[in-house]
This record gives sequence, C-alpha cells and structure tokens, in this order.
Amino acid sequence: MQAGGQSNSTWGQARVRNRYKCNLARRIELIENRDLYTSPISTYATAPNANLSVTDFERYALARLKVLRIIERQNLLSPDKFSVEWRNKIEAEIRRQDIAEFIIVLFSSVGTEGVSETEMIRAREFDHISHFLLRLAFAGTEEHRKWFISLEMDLFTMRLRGLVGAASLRNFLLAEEFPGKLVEKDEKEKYRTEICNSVLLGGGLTIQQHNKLETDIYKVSFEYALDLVRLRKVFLRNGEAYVHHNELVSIICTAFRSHLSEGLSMVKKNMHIVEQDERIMQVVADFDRRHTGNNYGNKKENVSGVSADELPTLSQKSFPLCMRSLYDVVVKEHHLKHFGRLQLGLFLKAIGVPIDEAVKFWRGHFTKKPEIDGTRFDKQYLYNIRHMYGQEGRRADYTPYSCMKVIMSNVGPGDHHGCPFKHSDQQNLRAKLVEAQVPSNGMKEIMDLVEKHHFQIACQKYFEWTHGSMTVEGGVNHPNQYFEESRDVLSGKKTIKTEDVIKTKRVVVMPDGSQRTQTLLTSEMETQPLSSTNPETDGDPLDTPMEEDSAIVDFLASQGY
Amino acid sequence: MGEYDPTLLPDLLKPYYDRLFPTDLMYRWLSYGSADYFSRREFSFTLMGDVYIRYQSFGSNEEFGKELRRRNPEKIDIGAVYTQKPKSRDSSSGFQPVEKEFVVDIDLTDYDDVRTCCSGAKVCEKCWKFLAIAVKILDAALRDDFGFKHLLWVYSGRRGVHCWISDTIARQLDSHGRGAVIEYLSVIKGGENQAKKVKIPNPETLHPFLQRSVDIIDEMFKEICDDDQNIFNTEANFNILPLDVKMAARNPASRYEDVFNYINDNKKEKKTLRQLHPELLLQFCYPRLDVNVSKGINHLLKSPFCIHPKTGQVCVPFDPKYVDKFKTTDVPSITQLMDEIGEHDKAKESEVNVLTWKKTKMAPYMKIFNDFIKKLEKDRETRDKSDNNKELF
Ligand code: SF4
Ligand SMILES: [Zn+2]
Repeated sequence: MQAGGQSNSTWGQARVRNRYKCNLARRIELIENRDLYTSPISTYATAPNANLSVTDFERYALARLKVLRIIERQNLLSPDKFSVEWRNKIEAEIRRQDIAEFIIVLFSSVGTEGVSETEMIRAREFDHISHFLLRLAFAGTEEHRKWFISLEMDLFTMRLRGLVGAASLRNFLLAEEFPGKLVEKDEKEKYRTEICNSVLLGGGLTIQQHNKLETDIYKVSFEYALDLVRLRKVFLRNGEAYVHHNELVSIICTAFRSHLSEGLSMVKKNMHIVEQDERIMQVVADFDRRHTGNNYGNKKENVSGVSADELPTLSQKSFPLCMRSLYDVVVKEHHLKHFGRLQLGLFLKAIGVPIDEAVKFWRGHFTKKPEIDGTRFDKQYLYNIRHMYGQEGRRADYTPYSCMKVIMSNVGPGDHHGCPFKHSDQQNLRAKLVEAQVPSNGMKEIMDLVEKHHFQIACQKYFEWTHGSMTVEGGVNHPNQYFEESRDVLSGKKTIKTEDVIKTKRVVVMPDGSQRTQTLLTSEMETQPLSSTNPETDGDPLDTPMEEDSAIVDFLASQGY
Repeated sequence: MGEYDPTLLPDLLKPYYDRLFPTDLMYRWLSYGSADYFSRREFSFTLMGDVYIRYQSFGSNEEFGKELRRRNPEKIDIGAVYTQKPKSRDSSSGFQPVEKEFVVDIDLTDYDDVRTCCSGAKVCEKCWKFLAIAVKILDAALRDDFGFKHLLWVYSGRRGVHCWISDTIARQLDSHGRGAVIEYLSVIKGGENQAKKVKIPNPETLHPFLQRSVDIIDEMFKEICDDDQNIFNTEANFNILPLDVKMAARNPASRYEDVFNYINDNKKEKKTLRQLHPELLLQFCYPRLDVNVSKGINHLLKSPFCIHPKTGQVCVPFDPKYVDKFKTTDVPSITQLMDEIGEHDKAKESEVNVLTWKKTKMAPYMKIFNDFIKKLEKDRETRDKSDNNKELF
C-alpha cells in the first residue's frame, strides 16, 4: 500500500471510524517520495505535501477532471460498466487526448513504453496531488461531492480490477486488514446453488458452477459489500454476504467510498478557506458551466419573461422531448409526481417563466382535477413551487437539470420524468416521435442511436428532424440549451444547417472508435481553452516551484495532515 | 357505535392522547436504553389547521407526554437522531442526522396499474392481498438475507404499510447503505413510459432472493391476478405480453388461462417464456416500494399510533406472520375507542381514568408493540453483558 506502509484501514462505517481518525491524527511525517509511491494504486490515505505553481495547479486539476469526464461519458455509452470494452475505450480516449501522466499511471508499468522509474513516481505523484486538488474543488455542494465521489470510484475500481488475478490483490487485502472470513468447504457445499446463482449474471451449467466454487469465497457483514448488495450480485444469509474472490474488488471499493466521503466532508467543514482560493473556484465554475448548467440558472434576469399563455406553443415547438412529455402529461392528466414537477418546474424557471406565471400554469392545470381545488392546491403544491424559485426553505437558488442529471435520474411506477430516449420503451418513444411528426427515416435513425445508448445524440437528431435540419452546435447537453438553440433557430437568429457542420467541423473519433461529424460527446472538451497546456514540456512541478502557492499547503496543514 | 366524523377529530384527539396513546412504550422503543439518544430524535407535528412544525425534541418521557397532551397533534412524524438536540440545534456547528431506523413504505396507490378492484385512496380486501404478499416477501428478505431481527410492521391507517427496522446495524446505515439495501429489494423499475418493468437476467439461475419472492407470489398469484383482478382484462397489462403470447390468448374471455397454458406448454423450447413467467409474477405482485423514503436518513415517516385523519383509524402494528388474516376493517377508529372508554367510564364511575388500552380494541395491537420492545430490550441486555465480559479479559 502506498503511504509508507501506514495501514489506512478504510473499512468504513462507524465501528472502525475511530481508529481511522487516530491514524489521521498521527500526522504523517514527510516521507521520501520514492517510498510514498511504491504501490500502483493509491487509496489517497494521506494528503500530499507539495508546493504548486499557479499554472501547475490548473494543469493538474484539469487533467484529472478530463479523465473523470471521459469515464463519465463512457458510462453513458456502454451499458456494461467495467467491462473490457468499457476499459479499452477509456484507455483509447485518454491516450487520444494525450493526458501523459495518466497514461503512465493507469496503463503502463516501469519498463514498458520506455517509462522510467522516476517518471512513474512523478506520474503517481501527479495522480496523488491532482486527486486532492479536486477534493478541494468538489467539496462545496452535495451535487459536486456526489459527482466527484462516483467518478473517483469508477476510476479506482478500474485500477483495482487491473490487479485481479495477480497476487497483488492478496497482498493488498493483507495490508488492508480485510475483515472477512474464508467460507469452509462444507458450508460452501451446503449453499452451492445459492452461491452459484448469485455470483455474476450467467452461469447455470454444473461445470461452471463447480469452477465458481473452486475459488475462495469470503463471508463478510453485508455492510462491507454494499455495492454487491445493491446489484444483487451476492448471496446474503443472515446478514452475511458470501463474496466471490473476484468480487472482493467491490468490497474494497465500498470501503474506499466511505473513506473518500469522509475526506470530503472534512474539506467541507473548512470550505471558507477553499472559497477564498480563486483558482479552485475557477475549476468549479468551469465545471458548473459545462455540467450542471449553472449558467442557465443564474441568468434568469436577462431573459425576457415567458408567460403561461405562451407555453402551449413553445412546448410543442421548442421544448426538448423530456420536457415536452412532462408538459403534455400536465395538460392531459392535470397532475405530475414530485420529481416530474421538479424537472419541468426548474426548466420553466430557467427559460424565463416568472414565479407568478409558473403558479398560474400549475394551478390552472392541477385544479382541473376534481379532487384538487384552489385551497388544496395552495396547501399542497404552492410551497413546492415557491421553493423551486428559492422563496421558501433554504432559499437556495435551484439550478435546472442537465441532461446528465435527467438521464441518470431514478424513475419508478407513476413517474413520468427522466429522459425519454433513455426511460421510454420502444413503443412509447415511437408514439412520441410520431406525435412530433418525425418521419419514418428519422425515426429509424433515432431508434438506432437509442439502441446503442447514444441518448443525447438521439436527442440532437430529434432536434434536427423537428427544426428543418438545423442542428445544435456542440450537441445537446442541457434541456435549457436545447430550448435556447431552438428559439434561436426558429427566430432565424441562427442557421447552422447539418450540412454546414459536416463541412466546418473536424471529424472526431468517438469513444467507440467510430468516426463522427457531430460530436456532442467529445468535442466540448477540446474546445476548452484551459486544456491547451502541454503536459509534457513542463518540468517537474515539485522541483521548480514558480510562484509559490502557500494557500493550499496551509489549507492541507489545517486539515490535520 | 359511532361512525367516524373527521370534523370531530380535534375533540377526540385530546382524550386519545390523555388516555390511550402509548407514550411510555414509544419512549422505551425510541430511546433504545438511552435518554440522550431519545433527546436527539426529531419529531414533527402536524397541528390543527395544517400547521406543520419540524424539529421538535424531548428530554424525557414526561416531557414527550406533556407536549403531546398540550399540542394534540393531528399527526406525528418520526425523524432521525441528530448530532444535537433538534430543538436547540445550532446549524453552524454541524447539525446532522446520524442514525435512524431503516424504514420501508408501501402504498397501494402505487398499485393502480395492477389493481382493477379499486384505485386511488380506495382500499378493499382484494387490495390488501397485494400488501400481504409485499409483507411476506420483505419480511423474509429482511430477516433471512439481512439478518435483521427487530422489525415493527404497521398498518398506516388507510392504504399502506410501513416497516421500522430497528436493529443497530440498520439504524447506523448511512444513506449510501440505505440505498444499497432498498435497491436490493427493488425489483420493479421504470416509470409510466416503460410498460414492462421487470427484467430478470437468466431464468435458470434466479438469485435466491428472487426465487423466494417468486415462490411466495406463486402461491397467491392465480387467486389475485385471475380471480380477483382479472389482470389481462386491462389492455395496458395485456400489451406487456410478447406477440406470440398475445396471439395465443386472443379470446378475451379466457385470457389468463390461455396465457399461462401457452407459457407452460412451450416453456421447454422457448427460453423467452421461461423468463417471462417469473417476470410476470414479479411485475404484477412484487412489492412497489417508495425508494426515497428508505434512502434518506432524515426522511420523516408517520409514527405508529397516529390517527389517520381521513379514516380515523389508528396506525397499528401487526404481526407479519398473520398478515393474511389482517383485516383493515377490524382496526379500531378513534371514535370506537372513545365510545369504549365512555361505556367503561359509565359502568365504573369510580374508576374513571384508570382505564387503559388493555380494555379497548387497541389491546391486541398493543401487545404486538410491547413484544417488539421487550425483544429489543432483551437483546440489548445480552449484548451489554457480553461487552462487559469482554472487558474483563
Ligand atoms: S437528451 Fe437531454 S434534452 Fe434531450 S430529452 Fe434527454 S434529457 Fe432532455
Ligand atoms: Zn380493492
């Protein structure tokens, strides 16, 4: 393990939390870099001790952000996370974007591709520092933390899976004081069917079953195997999870997650220090602009107001399908469940519907339902609407949902929200496309994209088919962006024909290897001005401190590292 | 015996809290042996006229009882245990939820696509069978799979059931952990735009939890889906079926039979049908869980022994073993209880105020609650003992 043999038991949950805190309090003495970076995988148990120049700061943080975003995009594209294909595509994309340190850390070993030991150590250090920089950047809000943790988890899992089969995994477990028991042979026999039917998806054949039981099965309290539990990929009996050797990775990840989230909440407690640091805030602002659509939330003042009377027309002409569907449900059924109201309500707010018009819209439709009269509406829904506009509760200014958020949302019985390209079955989606007058060749194109999980590209195609072949520049990332593009096109402000794009835009390789001319999923990154720094020409960031940055060091020190 | 009249509720609540509401037992449950723990628990009250007050907390059993009698809340919600007393919270110093029972919430309104007997807030005996299946499946999974021992099942007073899982491990789960458990238990996925909501990976190797659930459903499936609900009579449900099955069941009069005959006759050859069978069972009868209620550690849920304002019925615990026999119509309403008390007072005027729940229709439900608490306390004792022993060595 890294961190100079310090046993950073990250086995999560309350029981071990105290011990873990002691470890941190012990204050890690500065260890020679060489000793610190012996392991191919870091659990980031200790904070780095480094002075960074301003340019390095940006370069470190953005390089890692890029890697995380590559993973995020690949998650949307391949249904099978952590598959060989998934991993290969991520590797291809990181290589294509030439993120040097991460190519070394993730995909090389000393000796291969001419990587020297010193380079490896530097790259591992880069990994270490950049991780902590992003911790600072993403600790501020719940949404940021969630995003960061989930992608760091994917990255970590990917690396750990690279170890499976090798003896290194066993060593890893030993060093980490793994809390499981090996299941005895008799017990294994007794629950043979149950264990076999729980491990992984397929199986079924006796020979395979036999093989599955040949390997070690560990028994741990289900709290340590939460990710397996969630996917129902493990046999549970009496509170204990019977974990297959290969799935230990998942357990280690669960522990890593709680370690990470504790780390973030520690930063959060000291957020006032972070917030004074402009560079960190820059990274966050940048992320927000592209990801959560904060810019749509904030600029409502300069949008000319949209009245409730305009919505019938606008919804049919310029709403993306996710919002149009919700709108139609409100009109037809005079009701919408909570998360649907939120998805549509925040969208409406961001297109410029002021609060009184929003209330008029919701009340007008909801009170058509016989059991909802004006008073009941005021009692049950008004607070909610005012809340969305930041006039109740914490008075937070809620931002409208990005595509990513809509696509990733949880949808249950009775719910209409979500992204139709992802959450509608074929029949339902077809009906919607017919209603929007998408011709049959367009239909086929869209359905094919959906089949391949290219939801946002499908949405872009939908835009084209419903906007006389005009397209959305850079692809669809946000329902409000969709809306604005649509208004621009329909008002004649903007005219980007699909054909123009083919001429003017370069061809970009998609993560799946195919070449596309419309690249909502890969192009945005390259157009970011900040990513233009060349990672290879800069010297060792630690040996050549330029404008020294003490704020970050102070900050880390204040964390008790 | 009087019918329940919602407009009279305010007058009924006062004597209810005075004489019947089991304050002591509630305290014994929610304190888990620690007064401090109880004092950091959030309660919230809905008062007459829809006044909703959050972050109430009480230092002792007496204070809890006194406040209830003073405020006579229309509804009590139970929230999380926080880092500080919710009443005197100081959010600048990290006021955060730390523990709560793991809760499960099932509501019959989520069954509207499969129940044809009633819809919305209406509930009949046929509907209850869906809940009975839900309780059996979840109770088995929570006990056998997760090893939980302290489950309090309650009827919500109108159209749903709740379960309060009170084991230490359950109370200490963070929201990520709660999410994992509830996802494990969630089989029905997808919203109104996705007709078929259950997909199983491989019919030959069903996960033991799914296998058990399917077996439980199988016992009652025909009764519920054919006899009671005539499930394929609704086009939406019929349309879930793949084309070959639909073709085989063209006669509307015998759809159910034709569907399952076709599946059984052709199961051997067609893997899709082997898969379809458990999928249909699950789609129509698997419990529909309100995932969000379970996930959030600070999510509030209605307390047992509240009065449902619409029906006047008490939110009572029940024994999952006898869930089939449970009749919502047997559950006493506050009006009935007050009548009982009135009768009793009249009969034995000297003993006014000594009447407790023991002499009312509340008694059997109270016994279930009492047993649940005793088991918790016993468990705590043995654990404390073994902890002490450990320290000796
Ligand atoms: S891709 Fe985005 S804008 Fe389009 S329907 Fe889905 S969520 Fe809405
Ligand atoms: Zn019914």
